Amino acid sequence: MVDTRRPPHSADALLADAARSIPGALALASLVPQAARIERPLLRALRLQLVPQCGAADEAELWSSDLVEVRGLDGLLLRADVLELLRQRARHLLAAGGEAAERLHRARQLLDSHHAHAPPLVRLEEEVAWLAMAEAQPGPAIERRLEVALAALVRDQRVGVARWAARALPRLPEPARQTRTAWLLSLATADRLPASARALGVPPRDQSGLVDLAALAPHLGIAPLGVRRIGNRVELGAVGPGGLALQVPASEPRFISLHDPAARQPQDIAVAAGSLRAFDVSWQTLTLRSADGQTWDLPVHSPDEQRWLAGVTLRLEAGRGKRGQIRWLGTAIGNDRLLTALPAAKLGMPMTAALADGRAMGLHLTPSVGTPGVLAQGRLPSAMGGVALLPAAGRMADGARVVACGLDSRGALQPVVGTWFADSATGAWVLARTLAEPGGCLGAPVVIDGQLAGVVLSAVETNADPADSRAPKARPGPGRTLRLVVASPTTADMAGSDGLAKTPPPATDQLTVALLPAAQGQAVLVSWGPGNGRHHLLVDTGPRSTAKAIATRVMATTGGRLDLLVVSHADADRIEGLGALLAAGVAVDELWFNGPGQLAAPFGVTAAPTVAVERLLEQLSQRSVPLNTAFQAGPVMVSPEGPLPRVERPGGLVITLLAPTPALLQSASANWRRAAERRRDSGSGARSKSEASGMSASQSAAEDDALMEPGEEPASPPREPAASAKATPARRFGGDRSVNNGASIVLHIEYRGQQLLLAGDAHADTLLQAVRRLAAERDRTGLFVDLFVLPRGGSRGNVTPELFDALEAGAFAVSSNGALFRHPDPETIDLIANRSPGAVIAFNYRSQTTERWADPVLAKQLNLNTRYPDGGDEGIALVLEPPHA
Amino acid sequence: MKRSTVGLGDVFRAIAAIAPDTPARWPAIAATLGFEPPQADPTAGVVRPREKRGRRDTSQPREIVLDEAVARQESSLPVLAPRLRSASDGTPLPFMLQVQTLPQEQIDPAAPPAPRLMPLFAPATSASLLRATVVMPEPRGRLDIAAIASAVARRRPLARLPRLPFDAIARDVVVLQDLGEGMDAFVDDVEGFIATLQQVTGRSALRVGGFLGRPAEALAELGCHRGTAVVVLSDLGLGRLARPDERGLRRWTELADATRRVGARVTALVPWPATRWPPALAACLALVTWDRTTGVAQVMRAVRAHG
Repeated sequence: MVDTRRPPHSADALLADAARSIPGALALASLVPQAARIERPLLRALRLQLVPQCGAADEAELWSSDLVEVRGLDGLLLRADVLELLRQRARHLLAAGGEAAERLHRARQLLDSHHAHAPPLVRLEEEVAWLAMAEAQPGPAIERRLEVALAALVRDQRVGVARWAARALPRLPEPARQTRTAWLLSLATADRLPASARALGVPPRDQSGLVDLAALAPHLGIAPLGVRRIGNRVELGAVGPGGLALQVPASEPRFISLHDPAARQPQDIAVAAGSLRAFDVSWQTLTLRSADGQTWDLPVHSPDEQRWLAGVTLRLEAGRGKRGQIRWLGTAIGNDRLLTALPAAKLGMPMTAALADGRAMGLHLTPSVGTPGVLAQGRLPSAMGGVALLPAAGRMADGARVVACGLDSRGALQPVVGTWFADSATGAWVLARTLAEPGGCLGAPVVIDGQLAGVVLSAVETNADPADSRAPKARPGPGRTLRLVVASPTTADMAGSDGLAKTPPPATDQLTVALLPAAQGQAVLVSWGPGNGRHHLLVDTGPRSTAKAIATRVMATTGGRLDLLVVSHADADRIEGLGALLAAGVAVDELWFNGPGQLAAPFGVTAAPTVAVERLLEQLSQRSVPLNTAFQAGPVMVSPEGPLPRVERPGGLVITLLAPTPALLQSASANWRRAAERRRDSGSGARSKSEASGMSASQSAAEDDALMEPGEEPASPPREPAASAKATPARRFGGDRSVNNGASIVLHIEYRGQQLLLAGDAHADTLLQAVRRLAAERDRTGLFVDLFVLPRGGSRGNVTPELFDALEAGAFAVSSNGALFRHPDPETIDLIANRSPGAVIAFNYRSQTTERWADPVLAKQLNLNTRYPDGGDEGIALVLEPPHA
Repeated sequence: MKRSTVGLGDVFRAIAAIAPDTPARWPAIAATLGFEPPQADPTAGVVRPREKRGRRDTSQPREIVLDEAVARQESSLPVLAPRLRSASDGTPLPFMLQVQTLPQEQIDPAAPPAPRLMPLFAPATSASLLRATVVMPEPRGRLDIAAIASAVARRRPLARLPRLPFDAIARDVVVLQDLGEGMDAFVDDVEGFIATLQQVTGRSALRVGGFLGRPAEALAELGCHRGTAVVVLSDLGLGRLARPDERGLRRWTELADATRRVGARVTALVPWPATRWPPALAACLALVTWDRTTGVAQVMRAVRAHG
């Protein structure tokens, strides 16, 4: 579908203008305002059967009029605001009865017969729109219809419903959009497709939304709601520095119930995103309650305590000790949770390092404290270096004011206020008064005179010696006196981690890598930049069988614009999706592809080697997509000498091209020439469009195989999955000799310190040379990337142990559903497990060939941390967190 | 300080807490807190009754509306742990227990097929209409007895036997398809037209080409000779999406001249009514309305009018 220009006219003005200038077209448009789309056969039937006085020109005039928002191969969509007015008119006509109403009923029958084979959601959308027009009190009936969609999305986990809702909800009639179920549907959709949240256009609910939301809350994600209390005022929403976040059900607006003991009853408050609401309250402890039943207490704290409790964010840090790199592991969820995040037993060592407000500090992790697993989504380092915690002796003068926090017996956060004393035996200690438990203070960051000084290394309850003139002057009152030993770290040697979290696309500026469901092929969507200015790069477009699904996802994520599209090499399962992508209206700013046109001059290629490539070239010629602009329209390749080509994209993304070399393209070109000759000789060059479009996946694969030279490794034959990957005898690594695969474009991508390697189907030795070359350019002996998208769906033929010696990755990703080639090979996963114990491996399908590693016993045995798409979904999105977010 | 009184200190504390980006917003913050700096009062000296001020209603917290410009990101805030976790056990919404399942998208083999596109020409006469657009007069009809008798009566020699004209389907038919946006509404019709015409003329006699703007150039590429019937499917640039180069008359006169020169004939099927055709264009080309209202006689008339 192609987006058309939208004139700045109001819908009223447009309809008035249409009534004057194109009355026939307007009459046609008015017949089925409930239609989700109007195809050509439907339009023709409406004209000939219901308004025979109209001519073919009226069809053309409707097609080209400003009443239309989108026109494409499948038909046309009217503008949403125009539809709203046409529906209002239809509602009046239906209520009045008569000939006009009868015609609308007949039009509905025609629509139903034409859309009898349409997707169920399209029929549901049209039914809802009809109810809004035809029923006097449509609300309850609409609720019942939309509940079916809501149940499918929330109960049955059918993500396709979210994609439908993102498109359809803003186009539903006003009475439908105002229903409770439409609002809940929009929340559930925004939760699953955050990029669509702004476009949903469902008006926020009033304060009764808290009641509605309570029912859906268990099925929604969470969103932060800022809160800050300053004396007798409480602020909610975008409170800024010094505030705290409550994790409430993700809704727009967010809801919270505020209970002030001085008030008679709680007040339900709606807080729109980005707004701030402030309330006068009493000086008593407030209670906040979210729709999912969580309860928070907001006591009045002294300014020091308030600053401490509100102002410190802790981050665990780890890095590759030998290389001195610091990697991000995760954000502690609240100061009190840091202790509970990583049990020492899982760490394998008692200490790691942390940053608090950007300063390095030590952290003593004690397995006996708290609940484990808060940061379990972060991969724990496999070879963690030591971090020495040294007593923070002599750092402060006696009598300095110390503020920390700890957990009480209920797990609630309590201030720890004390006084600093130097000591010859222990270096230094703190005498503090608090309601917290001694164990609840371990590892707590300590602020002394407003500066972070270290963490609590030990805490014991003590009776302060009254004879000691330095007796604590901490605040009086209930609680216990603790003697704390404070330590600060030396962070010379820290350990690594992947910094990878499988989450929905982020609102903040993060690098997102989505492995779209491309069956046996690949389509990797890389997104970067801030929320309202995201940029997108797509590497490969998958095979024909998944083309529509990928086009839909790309449209939903990118809004229809790709900054760059890279076709890594000319295999059908990499290029066949392009047609659907372009047909869906995705605009491509630049394409990188080594096609016949680019290889003609340097390598003598004269014709497309396969039907798929030929089709690709046809599609590109129709769209005028700029090709290889960054390479002066020549081949995308690296010269054997000199620095690797480096291309900066808008938003700060840096791409370093690692392959192919001219020699690899030369080999592929020779093969292409022979394949083109074979096609010419066999007469397949004169194929028709229908022949091309009718190719099955296996035919496409067979065509790719036709590019192979004698002696090359064919597609892996189907085989039964091994009962245990360990038990499978190792087969040959690096055996892929397809020159077509070997000419793959290999990209190294960097964004805000995160590194990503996309290998196409490149050969292992090509990758090894490329990795060594890039490392040498950076004065390194090896390369570390945060994510390595394995070549050829994890085929053993495209990796070697030597490659993993030179290349370390925080996480690995596999794009394959196992069809045709039964990738990934168990040998590849074994190799990763062997070389990178504890590695994260993300699969974009849970299939017969990948789900064996979901078995916790096998995963534990191999020391792997595997990720799969949620539920029955396909495709997986990975968020690479910046090192110092 | 009495709590109910707002003083300068409160204003400064609020300014420090909100941290506005410009001092110009300080007065607004002060006003929000109810603090009004002393102003010159023109009625100074006049004693006015004090306004009755009720006690603050503490039954509900009072909302303070702040400038939205102070809004900041919430996602970077440290998280406060709740005192009580959610008691929810993920119990589905009550209605979800009884709501039917949305059917999966699949084709029911028993369902009747979706209606197909109804062609622009009436199905009953469609074949005749198509045939009429591609006939060429050939001198191989029956003997023209009247002409022979007349020649004999006047004692004129007969170099060849005169025959009655015979309309035969052209042995070479070229269809030129307008690829402009104005024809997007009829792409399925064009496809159907070509398929039907293929049945009329035979596959080998039909050649198809497309053009954007200049039909004569497309015809030159395809080639055209004496006896070729050229059928153009076009909106003549009458639609509002037509580009400027699709509206000119010259491109059509070029086409008419090109066909006339070689003895071919061109007929244009236009899905717009005759009332919208440019008169000059109707004079140089055989134009036929491509719609239900068109009859065979109309087509024959248009074709013969242009020889």
